[in-house]
Amino acid sequence: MSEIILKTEGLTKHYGGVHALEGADFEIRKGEHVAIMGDNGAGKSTFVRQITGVEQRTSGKIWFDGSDVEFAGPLEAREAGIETVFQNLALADALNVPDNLFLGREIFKFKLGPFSILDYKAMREATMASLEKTGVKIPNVNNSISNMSGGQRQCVAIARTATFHSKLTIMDEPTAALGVQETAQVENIIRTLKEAGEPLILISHNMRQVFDLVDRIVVFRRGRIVANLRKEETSGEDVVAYITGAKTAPEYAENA
Amino acid sequence: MPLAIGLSVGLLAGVVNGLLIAKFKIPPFIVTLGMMLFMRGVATFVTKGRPISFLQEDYVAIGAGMNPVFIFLGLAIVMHLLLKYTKYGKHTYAIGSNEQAALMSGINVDRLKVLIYGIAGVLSGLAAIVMSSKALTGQAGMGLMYELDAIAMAVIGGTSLAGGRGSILGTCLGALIFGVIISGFTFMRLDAFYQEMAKGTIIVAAVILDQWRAQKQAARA
Repeated sequence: MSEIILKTEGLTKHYGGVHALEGADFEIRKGEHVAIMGDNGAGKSTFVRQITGVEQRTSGKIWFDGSDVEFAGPLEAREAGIETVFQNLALADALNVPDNLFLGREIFKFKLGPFSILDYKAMREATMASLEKTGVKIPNVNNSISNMSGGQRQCVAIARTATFHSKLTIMDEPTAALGVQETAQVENIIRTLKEAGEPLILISHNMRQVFDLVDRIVVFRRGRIVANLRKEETSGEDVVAYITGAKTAPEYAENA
Repeated sequence: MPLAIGLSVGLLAGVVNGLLIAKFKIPPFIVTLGMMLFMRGVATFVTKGRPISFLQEDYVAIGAGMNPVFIFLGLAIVMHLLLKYTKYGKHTYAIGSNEQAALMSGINVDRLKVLIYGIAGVLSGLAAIVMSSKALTGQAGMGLMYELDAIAMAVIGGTSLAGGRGSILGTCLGALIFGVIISGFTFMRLDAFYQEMAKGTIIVAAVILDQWRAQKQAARA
């Protein structure tokens, strides 16, 4: 077994009286792809918001890359190496594809503080290379993002994640609003991440997609983790039973 | 020396604007309008409401003949290059386009805003120097309502009020169009109030056009 990249222990989040997340113990190893499943309101997004620093946890511990972490905000998490594709994509609409891909980490010809000269050619070439690598087809990368379809935007957001090697990638329902072809493209990008050995936490409602892509499935129900299943040892019916509450894994029985 | 003071006052006003906008999240329109009013008050206080004239040769030379045009062209080229080819420019567009995304991409949004408004302040200081040099006098009431003219020129030139779009080239063209229309009124010897009516109409029409562009953009996405 390879090294653990992220681990949580007793991770808990209360919004006033609402217990959105209760004592979540979770771990993911280098190179592993894990899906988080569960009904709406089961605590999936809450869980992600705690580990990416978007919200501050009520209690519990998070280890990332070997050390105890407490991210004050999403930017800190990102600098530490956690790359997140949020449901509301963080793209600048008026800029084109290379500009967005390299936003905040531009390539320069000449460095001079804020007045550093941009190297458009290098960024464009790197963009083409990474789009090719991830299999994303965008007719004209010089078009601004606002002129693109939802699927193309999503692909750009995800290609950005795949271009800059991060220690952990998190995707929150990356294909929820996409058509068949666009979904296939996003899934291809996820496969390239797998080949590159980069760990991924994927939140998804799509059973087929989960069984196609990941190694392990963690099921959330009413704020608690109720199952941790290796893909080979489970089935779609099984997972549904855990999601709906018809079944609870014995090791989590006292939670449910 | 007077040049340095003029530019520094502009810089100071700009930096204060930037800090207020970045730290207190006050709408930029309010902050900059407030600063304008405040500074006009300061100017009236310092000059005791009377015009001052300065006839040193070198100061007058700044605004003499074609010099303002050369200063304008030089600055337009510099700002065009800054906006288009530097990190400063790219990040400025990014903030205008989606501030949240800029923040998530690791851009220090607050620091950049202070820089942007600081540069704007220095430029307005320079504009004041050129103007007073050309007019051979300085008084607190100069440049009244220029802010609306400036907005109109920028919007005619394609700058989006919602942010993220616009260029120096477009703004120069906008300024030319606006200038030609206004001087047209003078050439036709129409009364000044027609000119004001036209200006008002152009400003509102330009903003309507901008809204319409934004809606078309949103419909396509």
